[in-house]
Formats: sequence, structure tokens, C-alpha cells
Amino acid sequence: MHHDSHDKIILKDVAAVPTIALVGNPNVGKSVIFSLLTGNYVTVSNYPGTTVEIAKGTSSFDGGAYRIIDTPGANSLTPRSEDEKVTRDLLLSQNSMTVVQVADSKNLRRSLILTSQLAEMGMPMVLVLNMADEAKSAGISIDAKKLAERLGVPVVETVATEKRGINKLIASIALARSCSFKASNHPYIRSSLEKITDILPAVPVAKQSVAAMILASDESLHEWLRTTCADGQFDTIEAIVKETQSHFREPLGYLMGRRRLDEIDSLLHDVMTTEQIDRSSWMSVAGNLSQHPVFGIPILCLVLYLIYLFVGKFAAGTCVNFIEESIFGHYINPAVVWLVSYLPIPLLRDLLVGKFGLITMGLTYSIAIVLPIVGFFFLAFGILEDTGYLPRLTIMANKGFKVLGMNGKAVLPIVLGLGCVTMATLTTRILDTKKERIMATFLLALSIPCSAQLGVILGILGKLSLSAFVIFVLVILSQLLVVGFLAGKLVPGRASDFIIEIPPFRLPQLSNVILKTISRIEWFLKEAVPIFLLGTFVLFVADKTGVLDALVAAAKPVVVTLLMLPQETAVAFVMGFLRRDYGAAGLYRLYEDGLLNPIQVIVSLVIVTLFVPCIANFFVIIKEHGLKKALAMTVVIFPLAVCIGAIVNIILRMLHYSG
Amino acid sequence: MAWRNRGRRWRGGRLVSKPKPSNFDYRQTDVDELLELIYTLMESGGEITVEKLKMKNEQVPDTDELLAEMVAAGLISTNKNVVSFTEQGRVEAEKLIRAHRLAERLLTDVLLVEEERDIENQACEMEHILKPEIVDNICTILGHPRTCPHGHEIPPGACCMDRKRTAAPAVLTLDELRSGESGRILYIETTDHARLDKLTTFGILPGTIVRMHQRQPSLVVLVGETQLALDREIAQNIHVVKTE
Repeated sequence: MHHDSHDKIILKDVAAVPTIALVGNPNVGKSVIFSLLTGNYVTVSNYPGTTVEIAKGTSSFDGGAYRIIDTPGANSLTPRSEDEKVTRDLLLSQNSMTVVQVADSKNLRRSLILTSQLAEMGMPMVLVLNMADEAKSAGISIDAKKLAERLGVPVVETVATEKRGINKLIASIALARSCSFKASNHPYIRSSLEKITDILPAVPVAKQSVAAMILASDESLHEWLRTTCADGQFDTIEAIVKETQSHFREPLGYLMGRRRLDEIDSLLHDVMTTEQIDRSSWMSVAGNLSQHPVFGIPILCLVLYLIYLFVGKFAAGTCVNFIEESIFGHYINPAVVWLVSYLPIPLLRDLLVGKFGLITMGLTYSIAIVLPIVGFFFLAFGILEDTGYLPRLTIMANKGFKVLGMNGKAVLPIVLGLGCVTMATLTTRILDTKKERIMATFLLALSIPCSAQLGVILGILGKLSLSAFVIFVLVILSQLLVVGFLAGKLVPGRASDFIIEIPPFRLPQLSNVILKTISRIEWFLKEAVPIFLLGTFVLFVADKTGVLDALVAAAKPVVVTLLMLPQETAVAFVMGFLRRDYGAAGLYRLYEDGLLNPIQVIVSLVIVTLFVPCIANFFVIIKEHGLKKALAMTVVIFPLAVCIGAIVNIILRMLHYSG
Repeated sequence: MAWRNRGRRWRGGRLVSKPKPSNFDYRQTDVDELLELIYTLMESGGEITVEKLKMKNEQVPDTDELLAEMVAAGLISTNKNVVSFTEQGRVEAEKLIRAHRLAERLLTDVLLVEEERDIENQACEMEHILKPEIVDNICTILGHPRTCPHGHEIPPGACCMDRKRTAAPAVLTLDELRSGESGRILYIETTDHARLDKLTTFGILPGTIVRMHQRQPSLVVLVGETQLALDREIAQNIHVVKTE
């Protein structure tokens, strides 16, 4: 899988091989179809906004090679958020592209809004009616043949998760043509569209569609307009927009949207029938309960408790004990030590099996401690993602997030941060305003432990006690609220409107969950294990050169005096710079060796959670918000983490907490 | 008082002691029109001078005379050249403006009059003949809208303050639907482009049927098969008629 960086340059032609772009509303199954067409696995979940970057792959059928592009879901081609902009910019940037629009059959009306916008662009397209099975059980029947006639494009019904209809889709791609379904406009708007079309420079798509975007007051196009239009032309266009708007009391985009929907409704009248079916299935009952004002909170607690049992007790207890103590402790490490003892150079021996040995520390930490915990966490998280539970949390949390100056939508990136903070930072693109994006990025970097770290933390707390787990969760949540509240006051800007689609509650699909878990474990092995090894090597060098001792000594006033932690924890915090889970694993070892009492465990875990973002996350923040903001965030986070740790320490000591 | 005896010149919004003449001539409402003019000028800000009024009120030649009458009636006061409302004048002007803008809403959203000119002319006539109680009933039926179709504020009446349901409201805001109830959208009352855009892409437009799924902790509505969670504040912009 290849992630494209999200360039600002738009409207340039880079297509050489025939390209197929998968476009559609969020959460309609574009990524599933992408995986089926290309054989590449991309993350698939049951909530809108899983894909925030363009994914590319290749496929060959009909005797030719094709480039396939998966795009972030877009409700409209007049973008209001960054991820929608990615899709629109892609569509504007290439000619000779075939569009496969994936639609949710249950929500054909909404999908057709996008269809008519694509029709204006004029590129050849195919319409896929996905989730045909769900539509059927909802009592919706669509006359695909008639719809194809009216739209002038091939229409294919699929159930992508069961691979049904994919061959038909492949066969229809050759028959793709530009859609004839175009919304008519008010005569006055039509003449303005023509005027703007005449002025516009050449673009790879039908100029009319760009003109429509401009009239609908698409500000994201302004920058491009200014650079491509000749002197004065931009002003002329602006003047036309203003003049046209002055004739109507409602915004032009809204008027055009209404016309569009009117036409769609009359089309739907001919091709779709809906039967009232009583659909109180178990799944919808479960979905309703999980967003219920009374039962929602206990269910959230239950979900957290189950994860604690599964990851903290089972994975970290049973599995890690077995792998670490039996396999590594009794067999691998002694065997390696024995083998290495034949090495003539003591320094080399130390490098492999010493205190900071690549095998005794680096590999043991990553494979014996972190991997099993993370593996089971990925599994649990994958199940949650597949059910559609996560977006329901936005309903529960909207009011709370309003207090922070964001809205419930920000729950999604923050909860996804529990998977990987780095990826979740990219997901902040689904938020509409800059303020929300910066705040979510900051809170992610500060207080959300990523899966590996959380897993290890659960492991330690699972061995300690349930009360320690509850205290830890409460500390993290309350500081999230307090810091979020303060940040909300400091970061300028405003929160956007809260309108979010809640996907249907579904039974998790075993194959997808397993595939996803495997691909994440693969990612962990490829990305985390080398860093563990590298980190161990750095520590080894620092130890041998005396830098580590100096560092530990320098940190002593803070670590030992202020936080009342054993000075070895300073090493774990240094490890946390490289990867947060690496630091947590260091604490895990200290706890196992009996060096930490319950208060010290909680304090050190709180600090390692809040601590500076890991290197990968740091780079993503730079990419999304620039170096200045990334540095500023780090500078704020570091003392904040120490302060909160100190406060927790004082409170717990006053309460004489003993586990 | 002289102006009161003329009886036909100023009858907007207030009870007329004499029964209305059947051949009511609404053009003879110069005082009403002038009150409205002063009110709208005040909304856009700045000082209101006699010259400004004369300029804007060209079609009536005797503006000076009218103003003098209004001062005598205790509707306005003039300080040098600057005109301002007395308390009574402000109340009367608000009544007129309220009737006019509610009439516009009624004509646009419920009676579906499309031609801008028709709406304006009809509203201009209606404002003078509607009794305040009837204006309140219209307001209630429309669900106490806060703005006219042009986005100007509608002065609230007593019915808006206590939201009492004397007439059964035909138009509710979306957030007033109870869970399980459905409504057809009549109009959306916001000038926020981004908000309108977003609603449009979710298919929330006049004509769409929306069903309230749950009201707490956030509003969740069903549009077709899509479940949408949204802010109460947005739902308050969406005016619906109950269906079923």
C-alpha cells in the first residue's frame, strides 16, 4: 500500500496507465472493493473516515493493467473538510480516469447527490449499489436496469463483503460512460454558470462542474483560481458570483442543491420502492442500547472492563507469563547466553545479552512482552471497529466535547488514537475546523496511550489490581477534560457543527477482524521491533559511555525527589521518547522485578502515558501542522506530564493508597 | 387629537375604535409605512434624519406634515433633525414589522408563493389588516420563526415568550419532535453557508421526511436509512410539519 502525501497542487494531469478511482459517500465499502480489485489490504472499519488518504494499487483484467485509487469518503464535491478535499482534488487533477462510484443501496438518495456532481464533471463512470443485501432486508428494492437507463451508466449490485457482484463490476468497467443525469438550474444561475465557464482556463474535467463549485462558494478553490487565472479574471469571476447571489435570498449552493435533490427525488420515485418492514433485529437493539442515555454509560464501562479482562488479565497475564518466563526465560535467553559466552569480545557479549542486550532486552521486550499484548488488543479493537460501536460514542460524548470547544465528532480520532496515535493524527482530517484539528492532535499527543502502550499498561495494572486500573482511567480522563478545557480557551477559532452519520450496528465479520489484526501485527513487527532494537542499541551505547548515568543523575531531582520514583524509571522515560510502548515495557520489567510499589506504578504509568509523543507521531504532527506547532506542543506536554504525575503522587500518598 | 379622528391614516396593528370601512384602502397608511421605514433604517444602524426620511419616502410628498402629526401623536420625537421613536412608537412599529415579516414567512413557506413581487405586495397589504391576536396565531402556527425569509429578525410577540399553544402549531422545529415522531421539512432557517451545505449533502432539505430516533444525550434522527446525530442548535433551524 502506498500513501500519497496530500499535495496542495491540484488540477494537473499525471495519468499514464488507465486509472480507476473509487469514489463514494463515507462508509459505503470503497475500501472493501479496493481490496477485492487489487488484492492489497487496506484498513476497513464500520465508521466513516477510516480512509483519510489516497491508497493506490494495481490490478489487471480484460487483458490490461489498471491503476486503482481508493479515496476518502466524500458526501459532496464542494468540500467542507480536509478528507473531502483530498477526493475532490484527485478528481480534478486527472483526465482519462474512470470513476467507480460506490453507493450504499440503503441510502441511494444521498449517493445520487454525488452522482449528479460526478455527472457534471463528465468522466466515464459506473455506479455500484453496494450492500444490496442490507437494502433488501430494509424493504428497499431498486430497479437497477431502469436506473442504469435513466443515468446512462452501468449500474451493478454488489455485496462486497461477500464478494458478490465483483465480477460483474469488473465486466462493466469497460462499458463506463459519462452520466447523463444532470440537475437543471434556475435560468439565472445557468447563465452565470455559462459566463464563468467562458472565463475559466482549461481543466481536465468539464469546466461547467468547476463553475458550479465556484458558484456554490467553494473557498477551497480560491487559491487555485488565483494562481491559474489571468489578471482580473479572478475578480470578474468573484463579481459574477456576488452579482448572482444578490438575486437570491438563499445561498446559491443551497439553491443548486435543492434543485438537484428535487430531480433525484423524482428519479427515485420511478426506480425505487420501499416497503415498511419491522426491523427490530438484535443488532439494531444492541446499537440503540449502546447509544441510550441511561444504558450507554454502563455499556461503555462494561466494554472497558471486558477489554481489561481480555488484554490485561488474559493476554498480559497468562500469555506473557508463558512466553516471557517459559519460552524466553527458560529456553531462548539461557540458550543465547550460553552460545554468546563463546564470543571472545566481552563488549559484544554485553551488546547481545547484557543489561541492555539486543536479545535480552530488545527482543524480549518486543516479542515476549509487547507483541502478545498488542496482538490481543488489536483483536479486541478490530472487533469494536467492525461493530460500529465507536461512532456511537460520539452521541454520548458530544455534550462533553462541546465544553472543550470541539464537538462529538472529535471522539473518533481520539478513540482511534487508542489504536495508533500516529494514524489517528491523520484521521483528525475528518474534523472541519482548524481549531478542532489542532486540539485533537494535541490531546492525542498528550493523553492518549497507543495500543501497544495501553496493552502493556493494562498488563501491569492487570497484575496489580482493578482499583489501580480504575484510578488510572479516571486520572487520564479527568486531565483530558481539564487540559482540553484550557486548550479550548487558548486555541483560537470555533467548533464546527455536529452532524455525523451513525453507521448500522453489525455483527463483526470474523474474516475482516482477523485480516485486520494480522496486518496490524505485521505492521508492528516491521515498524516497532526495529525501533526496539535500535533503542536498545542507543541505550547500550549511552550506558557504556556513561551518558545514561549522567542523564539518570540529572533527572534524579525530578524523578526521585519530586515524583518519589526509583531512579531506574528515568531510563524507562528515556525509552518512551523512542516509542511509548518501549517505555511502558521498561516499567513492566521494573514492576516485575518488584522495584515499584502501587503508587509508583500509577504515577509512572500516568507520566509515560502523558509523555512527549513518540518520534513517528512527532513527524506526522510536523507534516499536518508544521514544525513550529509540533515543537510548541512538545514543549507544553513535557512539564505538564511531570506536573500531573506529581499531583497524582501527592493525592495517592495522602490517601495512603496501597493497591 | 387630530390624527386620531382621521381614523384611516393609521390603523396598523392596533385596535381601531370604529368598525373598519369595507372598502378599506391600504394605500392610506402613510403613518404605518413611515413607522416601518424608520424601524428598518434603525436596524441597519446610523442616525435617522428628516432629510434621510424624505429621500427614502419620495412617493409621499407631505413627509414633513406626517412627521409633525406623528410627533403630536407621541409616536416619535425629533431632536434638531434627528428622528427617534418614543416607547409607544417603537411598540407600534414592531407590531407592523412583525406582521409583515410573519406574513412573508407564511406566504413563502406554507402557501408556497414563489414570485418575490407577489410575496412583497401581499405582505405589505396583510400587515395593516391583521389583528395582533391573529398575528400571534400565525406566529404559533409557523412555530415562532425568528427570522423572515430575507434573514431579518422578527420582533417576538407574547406568544413567543411563553410559547403557549393557543393555536395548535402546525410547524415545529425539528428538536420539538418526540422520539418516534416524523416530520416533513418545510424550511431551514439559517444563513450559515457551511451549515446549509452540510445539511444539503446529508439530504436534509425542504420536502425531506425526518424521523426522531432519540433525543438524549444528543439528537439522533433518521433520514431514509441514515442515522444522523446532530446538535440541538442545528435542529432548531429546521422547521417541520408533523406527518402521520
